[in-house]
Amino acid sequence: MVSPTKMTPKKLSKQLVKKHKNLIKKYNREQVLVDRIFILGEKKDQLEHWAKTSDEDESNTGKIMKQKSLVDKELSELRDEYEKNIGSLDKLNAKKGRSDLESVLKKHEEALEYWKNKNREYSKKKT
Amino acid sequence: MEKQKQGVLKKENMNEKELKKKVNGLRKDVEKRNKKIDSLFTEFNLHKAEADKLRLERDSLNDKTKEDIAKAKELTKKRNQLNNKVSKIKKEREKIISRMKSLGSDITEVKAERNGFNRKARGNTDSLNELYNKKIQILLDDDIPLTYEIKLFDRIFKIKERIVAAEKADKFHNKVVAEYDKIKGLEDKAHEITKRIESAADESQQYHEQAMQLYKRVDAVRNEANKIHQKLLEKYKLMDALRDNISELKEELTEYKKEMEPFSDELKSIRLNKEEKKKDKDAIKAKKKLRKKGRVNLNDLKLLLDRKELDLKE
Repeated sequence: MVSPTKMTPKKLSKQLVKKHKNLIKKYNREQVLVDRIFILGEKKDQLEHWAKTSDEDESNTGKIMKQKSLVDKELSELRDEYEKNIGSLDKLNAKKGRSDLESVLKKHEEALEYWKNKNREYSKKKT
Repeated sequence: MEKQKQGVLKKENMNEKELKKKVNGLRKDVEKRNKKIDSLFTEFNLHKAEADKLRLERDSLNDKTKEDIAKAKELTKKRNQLNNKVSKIKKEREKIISRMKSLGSDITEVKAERNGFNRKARGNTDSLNELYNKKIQILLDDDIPLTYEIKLFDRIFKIKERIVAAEKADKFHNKVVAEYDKIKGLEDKAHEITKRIESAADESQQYHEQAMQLYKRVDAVRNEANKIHQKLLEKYKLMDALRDNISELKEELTEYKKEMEPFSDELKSIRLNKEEKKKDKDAIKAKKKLRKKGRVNLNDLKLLLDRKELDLKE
């Protein structure tokens, strides 16, 4: 950690650039995870729907249930991973989270740009 | 001389009786004067013994005075040496006090600078560092809006300025403390010097008082010696008077002896003549006795031999 008296705007702006880069990386990972959970949730709904409507064809129903169990397993693993690294997430949050994350990422992109520019300015000023 | 002349003149006309009377009269006068001289000598010797005693007493007091003056001089010398020492030490102390004053004014300046930085810092180094770290943590760790970040960014550098000021204030404060320590050290030194001054001054005062006591005693002893000296002078006066008296009497005695001598010589001469005549008569008688009896007693024999009236060869 830089001691207060040795801290400069150039150094601090560089640390802020790093901060936002890390946050963008983190939120990107989160976004990928949320997207996958959302898609798998949709797929699970679809498979459940298909399972209800294909009573005559048992072999087909078996296939659907097998697929659903694979989806459930993956969904459960992803939810565990999410809850372990990010927090609790229900179906509704996942939906809302997607749009929130986009806006959060956008803000961090802007912030990253801002601090990058500032860092360039301070580097020129040699502060 | 006149008396002698008179005596010489007179004695020719005086018979033995008259001469004897005259000589006895003069002898009585001589004896009278001799007795007077003896009595005066006795008196003189008494005064002399007293004068000797007084002189010894006076000299002893004068010696004592000399001794006391020497002692008092020694004491005043020691006192003056101590006073010089005190002056020297006081100068040393003045230097220290002036150094203390200079340090005091330095401290005032340094304190003014420290207070200036303290006003700028508005807090101590620890609390400001804590505040700085807290703000840095929020800025770098918390997911916060950019507007807040920008505000925090500026705030952090303001805090940094305050920390720099606080550190400068600390530096000046440490300098103030160091200067105070120096002053404390000098104060201790000045205190120790003051003690030395007091001790030397006390010692000097003691020497002064002892010297003054001695001078007082010297005055008293000197007065006493002067009184005795006056008494001695009075004694000398008395003794001089007695001595003059004795001299006068001795002169008188010489005069008397001179006066008496011709009378006495005349008397002696008369007596000798008388004796010679008697001896002549006795010798004739003895010679007659010798011729008559053919023998004489021892006295007669001696007389005859003395007067050469008899030759032993015969």
